[in-house]
Amino acid sequence: MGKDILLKAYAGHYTEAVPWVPYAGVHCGYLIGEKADVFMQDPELLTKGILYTAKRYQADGIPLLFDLSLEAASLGCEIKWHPDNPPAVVSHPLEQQSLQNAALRIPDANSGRWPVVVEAGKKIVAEKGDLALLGLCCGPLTLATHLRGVSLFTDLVKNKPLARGILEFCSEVCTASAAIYRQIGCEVIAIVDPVASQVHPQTFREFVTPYCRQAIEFIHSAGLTSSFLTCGDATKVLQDICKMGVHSFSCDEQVNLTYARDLALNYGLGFSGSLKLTMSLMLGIIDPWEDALVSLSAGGSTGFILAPGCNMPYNVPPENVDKVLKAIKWYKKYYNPYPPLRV
Amino acid sequence: MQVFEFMGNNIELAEDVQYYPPLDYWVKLDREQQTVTFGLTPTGNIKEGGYRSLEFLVEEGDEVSQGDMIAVSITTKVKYLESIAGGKILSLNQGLEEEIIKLEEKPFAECWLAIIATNELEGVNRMVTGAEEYKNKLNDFAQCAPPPGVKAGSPTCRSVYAAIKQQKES
Repeated sequence: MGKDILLKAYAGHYTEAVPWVPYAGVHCGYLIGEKADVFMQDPELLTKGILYTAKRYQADGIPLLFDLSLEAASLGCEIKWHPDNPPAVVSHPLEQQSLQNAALRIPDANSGRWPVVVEAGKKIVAEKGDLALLGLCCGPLTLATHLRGVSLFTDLVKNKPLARGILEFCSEVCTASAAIYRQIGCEVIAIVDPVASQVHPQTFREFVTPYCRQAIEFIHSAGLTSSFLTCGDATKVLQDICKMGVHSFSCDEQVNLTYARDLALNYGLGFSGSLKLTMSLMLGIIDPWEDALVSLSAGGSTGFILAPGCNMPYNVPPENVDKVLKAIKWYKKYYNPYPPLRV
Repeated sequence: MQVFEFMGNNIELAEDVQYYPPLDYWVKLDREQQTVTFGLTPTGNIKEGGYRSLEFLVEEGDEVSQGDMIAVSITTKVKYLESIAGGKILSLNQGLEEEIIKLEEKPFAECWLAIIATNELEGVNRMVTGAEEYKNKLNDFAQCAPPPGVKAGSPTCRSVYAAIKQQKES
C-alpha cells in the first residue's frame, strides 16, 4: 500500500487493494491534544498532527489542510476561529463594493496564513515517506460566496455578469493555490467546492465547470493528480462533475456510492467515499466496521479510494477509525481480488 | 390530518393536499382551473434545519419549465427551490420573502409558494403521493438521521454554512 497504489486509483485504474485516505483535517489536531484554532496556526503542530494521524491511521494519503477559509483570509476576509472547527469567514469584501473598487490581489505563498501552510507542507513532504499529500484549494463557487456573501446566490440567476466577474477572479485564485501546493510538493491537488453541490445542474455548468478549468489544466500540466470534492447531496450534478476533466471526484455519504461507481467507471475516473461522518465515525450508531465494508463492497477495486464522505469531525473517537482499519484488512483478506469492474 | 412526531417535533400533515417527497412540497391540483399550487412542508422545514430566508428568482407572468429554479432560500445550507410543473406563473407568495417564519405556524394555509397554470397536471399527478405514504418516507429519513442536538456533518461545511447563515440573520 502507499502512494503509488493511491495514485493508480485516483487515475481510475484497477488496484489490488483499496487505498485509504482519511480526510482528517482538524481531527489531526484532536489526535495530538490541540484545539483546532491552535493547531491550524502553528506549522510545527500541523506537521506533527498530520504525520501522526497518517501513521496512526495507516493512510495512503492525507490532506495537508482542510480549511476553505485560507484563500478568503488571504484576500482580506475576516475570519472567526473555533476550537473544534476550521475558521468561518465573517466579512465579505464584495458585499457592498465591486471587484475593481475592492482592488483584491491574487494571493501568493506569502499572503495571509499561506506561509504557515507552506512551512508545514515542506516539512511533511520531507518526512512523509510513502504517503501522498493532498493540497486542497477552495473551489471558485465557495470562494465567491466568501467574497460576495449570500447575495451571490441571487446573482447567479439575476445578475450573471457580476457573478461571472467574481468567479473569473476566484478561478485565478484557485489556480494560484494549486501553484502553491505544487511548490510544496503535493502529489494530489483537489478543488473543494461544497457550495457546488447545492446549485441547479444548469448553474453548475455555467458557474462551476468553466471556472475550475484553469486550475485543472494547471494541475495536469504539472503532471499531478486532480480531484474535485464537494459535500452534501451532489447526485444531481455528479455527471457534470465527471465531465469537468478531473482525474477523480469525492462522494459525500448522501450520494449513492454504487451510482458514483458506475459513473466513475463510465468516465474512467477515480472516486472516493463515503464513510458516514456522524452516524458511523463520530457516534458509532452505525458500526464503522460495517459502514466501511458497505463502502468497500460498493466501491469495488477499480478507481476506488476509501475515505470519509467529507472532512472528519474534530473529536471522532479514534477507536471508531480503528474499526475502519479492521474492515480494510478483513476486506483485503476475504474479498481480494475483487474482479475488476468494466462498463 | 395526519398527526405524528418527526425528529422531535409534533407534525400535522394536511390530507386535502398531495405531497412530492423529493422536494418536500405539498401540492394541490385544480383540474377545473388547470392550475397547480405548491408549498413547503413543515417536515421539509425541519429536514433543512429551518428556512431562514426566501427570495424569488422569477416573476408573476414568467413561463417556467418543470425543474426550473423559482426561489432561493438560506437553510442550514442554501437551497434553490424548483417549479414542480411547467407553465405560466400566475401568482407568487411574496409575503414569504418578508415572513418566512409563517412557515412554522401555518405551512398549508398561508405558505403556498406559487400557483402555476399548466397543462402538465397528469404528469404532476403521477409524481405525488398521499399524506400516509409521505409520512412513511419521512419515518425512513428520521431513522437514518443523527439524534437531535448532535452537531452533524463535516466541520468544514459547518464553517462555510454557518458564515452564510450568520450573514443572512444579521
